[in-house]
Amino acid sequence: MRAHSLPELMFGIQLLLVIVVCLFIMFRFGSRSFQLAVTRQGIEGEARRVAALIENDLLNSHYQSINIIRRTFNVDIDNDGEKELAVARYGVCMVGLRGWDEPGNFDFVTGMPIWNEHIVYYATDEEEGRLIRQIIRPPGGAKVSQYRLLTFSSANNMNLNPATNRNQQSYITLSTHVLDFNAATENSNQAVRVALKLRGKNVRRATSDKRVDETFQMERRITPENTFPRL
Amino acid sequence: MSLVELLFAIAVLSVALVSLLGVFTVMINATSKSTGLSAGVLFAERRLEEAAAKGSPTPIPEFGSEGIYTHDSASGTRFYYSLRSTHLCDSAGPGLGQAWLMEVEVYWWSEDPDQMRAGMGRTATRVGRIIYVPAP
Repeated sequence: MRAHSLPELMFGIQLLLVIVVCLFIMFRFGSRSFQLAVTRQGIEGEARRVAALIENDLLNSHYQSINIIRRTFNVDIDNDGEKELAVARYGVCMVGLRGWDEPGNFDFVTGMPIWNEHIVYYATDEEEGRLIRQIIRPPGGAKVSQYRLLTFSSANNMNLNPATNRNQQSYITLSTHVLDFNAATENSNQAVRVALKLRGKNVRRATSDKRVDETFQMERRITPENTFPRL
Repeated sequence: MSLVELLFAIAVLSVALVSLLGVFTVMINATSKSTGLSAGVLFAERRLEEAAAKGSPTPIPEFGSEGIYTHDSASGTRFYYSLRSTHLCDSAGPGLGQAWLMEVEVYWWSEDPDQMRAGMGRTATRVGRIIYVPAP
């Protein structure tokens, strides 16, 4: 057995280098692809979950109770603070019913629900907005009117810390990737339009070092079924 | 190790790496199609809801498009739709309405609904609903 010559050794090292570089590129491509896929699937799933909840709450609600607070917030859209965009961070309030299976929660004559809480959805005004769903119940368990909650306002019910909101009974954070959340009512046919745009920030492209934001946008149009009288 | 053995080993490694590359590319394409499909279904359901709310379907098809952000926040994807309503049956008696089948086909990345995209197949979806139109 003879020892390796210098050219053989250099060739071997070069070959090893090429293989290591290829493996590294492969690993980087794989991990970035996986990260991209996870972010994409994550915000898509989040949007679908939020859509299902909002749709269900609005569908069971009363059109006359729907109250929308409009507010905007400037966010950085190019990840370096140079370009800003005004996005909607609205709040939507509607009546709700705790205990759909309780016969006592329905009017004996009309069969309509006797509303006992308000449900509020709002997006917080911060760079990466959170979408909060909170339940508001009047003190003492009083019934609530089918009309708009008069005290619903940005200061009372849409704070950065949901625990400080007025009369809030419970809250849950549905998403931490909100870019834009807005809603509008259609008086002509008593329907509500809700639009949500989620953003996964700073995701690297699989094939380059460029960082981009992954966005998923959806819009729903819901007709509250417990509206009375109907147009 | 002879040169032939070395070349063979490099070839095997290359095949493995290229296969892995292919797997990740397929994964990216699959997630792209999945998000496109989700956005397409949501868009189709909304169009259907809007059309059903109008309450007066006609057999004349309706076409349109809308830009929706599904991936890159810098550029949206254009989603095209065609809405077709088919009259299913006439009223069965006085005072009764009619039944219509409303179908919305949504397609994206191409204005042609039958267009195939490499690695993804057909990027289109169809949602339908039977609606009852009460007698005037």
